[in-house]
Amino acid sequence: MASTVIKHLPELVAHNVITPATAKDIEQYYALKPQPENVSLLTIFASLGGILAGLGLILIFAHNWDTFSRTVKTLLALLPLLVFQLSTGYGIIKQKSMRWKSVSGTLLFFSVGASIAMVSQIYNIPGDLDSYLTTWIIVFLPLLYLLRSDTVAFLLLLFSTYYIAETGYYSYSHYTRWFYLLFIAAIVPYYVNLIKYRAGSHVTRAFNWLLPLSIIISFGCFIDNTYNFGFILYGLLLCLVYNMGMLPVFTKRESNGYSQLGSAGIVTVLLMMCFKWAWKFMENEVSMPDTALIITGVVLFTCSFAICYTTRKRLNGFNYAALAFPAIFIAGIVSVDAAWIISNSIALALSIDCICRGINRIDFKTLNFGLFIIAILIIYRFFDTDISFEVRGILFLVLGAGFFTANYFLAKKKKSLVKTTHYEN
Amino acid sequence: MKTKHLFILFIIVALVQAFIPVKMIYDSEITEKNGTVFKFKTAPIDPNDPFRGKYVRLNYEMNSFATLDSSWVFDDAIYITLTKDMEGFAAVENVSRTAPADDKAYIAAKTTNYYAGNVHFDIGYDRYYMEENKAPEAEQAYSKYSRDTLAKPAYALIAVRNGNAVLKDVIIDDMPIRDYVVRHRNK
Repeated sequence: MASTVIKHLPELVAHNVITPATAKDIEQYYALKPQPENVSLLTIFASLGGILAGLGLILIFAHNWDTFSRTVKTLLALLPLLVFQLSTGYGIIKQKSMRWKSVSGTLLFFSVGASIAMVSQIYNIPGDLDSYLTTWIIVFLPLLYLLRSDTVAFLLLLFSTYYIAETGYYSYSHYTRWFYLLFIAAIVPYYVNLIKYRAGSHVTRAFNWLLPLSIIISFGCFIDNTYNFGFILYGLLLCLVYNMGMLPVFTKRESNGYSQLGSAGIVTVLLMMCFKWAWKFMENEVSMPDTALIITGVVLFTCSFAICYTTRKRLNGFNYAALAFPAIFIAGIVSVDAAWIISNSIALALSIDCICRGINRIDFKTLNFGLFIIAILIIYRFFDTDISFEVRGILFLVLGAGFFTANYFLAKKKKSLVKTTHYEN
Repeated sequence: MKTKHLFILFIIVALVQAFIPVKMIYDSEITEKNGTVFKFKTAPIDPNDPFRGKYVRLNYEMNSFATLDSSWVFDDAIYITLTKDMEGFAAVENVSRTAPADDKAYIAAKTTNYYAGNVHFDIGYDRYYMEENKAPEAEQAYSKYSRDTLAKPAYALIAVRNGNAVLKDVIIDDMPIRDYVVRHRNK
């Protein structure tokens, strides 16, 4: 950011936009401005190197060298663990740099996994991938707070997400998936600290994307066998994620993972419900879910609106989307067709809201997002409604023309606004 | 927190981290050395684990026991007391919900279901890790070997002690599966 501004200074001076003195002041400002975080490029590359080396270690062990004796293999299994425990311990006691702790912690993380893997291999110890990952993550979790390393936090979040995907979607193990909540509960205090003290750092921004993404991925594992109510719960979770993005701590930042993931998710779930065939699988009736699931839905709904209430300002259609999902469900109890019509109406309302906001704020991204929703709704009608080819063709032409016209007028509006500002100056 | 306290906590975590593989090694070694070895009839197939490498997955013939107790449900803990049949292979003598008090060899397992007068279970010990090139070859070699109806059954050698067990080897045609693969590689 700073380098981009400094790069353009000579051009701005040449066109008399700023004086040479101002240009000098700007340069001085950036030179003296403290770095937002103490993570240097070298730390990032050193951590990446550590991750690659650690993965390499695991893969070399996974080859299973049957030419080595059992004693040699056992010693090899324990050696990296011992070496990187010593280096990490040395880093703690000697208060070494964050770079040292990150690399050492990363290598220790993989050594723990590699040693358990290799001993399992040598003695053919049974146990599926879930139990292996559970043990690995649990014995490493405390190091997050002993080392306070961002790389370690990322690794734990990444592996916790891999764990829940493996447990919930692949091996379908009912009993161990709850460990994911424990892992996330252990990571959250570290994340809260990041938001409190290093809100503008790249690490926090990355976490603002990765943590909600991990929760969105995992949610499906906890609500299986919920049939149609699963859509409603997912929609409510995404509304909560979106509304969390409205909290002042997140709205100050350019890149807000909560709002982006939330809006994309809400639209995806809604669009799935807008397709008539999706409702055909529900055997023409919406059944009542378990009490626990209803409570989950109520909690998500309440939290979502509690956040809306606390932020209050600049609310838009997506903030109220949490109302839409229970409405669709209640309509579904009456009639599947009613639920389908309400889903389409809400998606249409959201698209119009996006288009209006896009035009008012001269925001091409929001405008085109709204147009995209309308386009999908029209495309759906080709499949679930009997429309002649002529009408389909005309609709596509109108849609194309709509995209072009809306963007053209917005570009024109932006241009005239820039001109007005120029004349006023 | 002071560095000294951090370091003490780290030592505790490091000991726990080291304890896991060391305990795994100790349990396996003691079972192998002092346990009773049984031969379990099996059929090997070749799957993959992203962290622990390739292995042959073993499907054991011994997976059910006739009982009148129909209260067994999925994932119950089951203790299987072992004996040897006429041919010297492992057989189920009895099953119970608690570990047998006598000196008889038994393994702890999990039930899968109760059906038609039989409790079905999964004894585990179904992964025999092999060098990555040999595991798929082992599957192919076994597949070829099993087509011969007169062939001796393949079996797993499992050492059993106090409910714990260690899969020592897989035997095809009276030789360890690793040697069998090498011998039949160029045939």
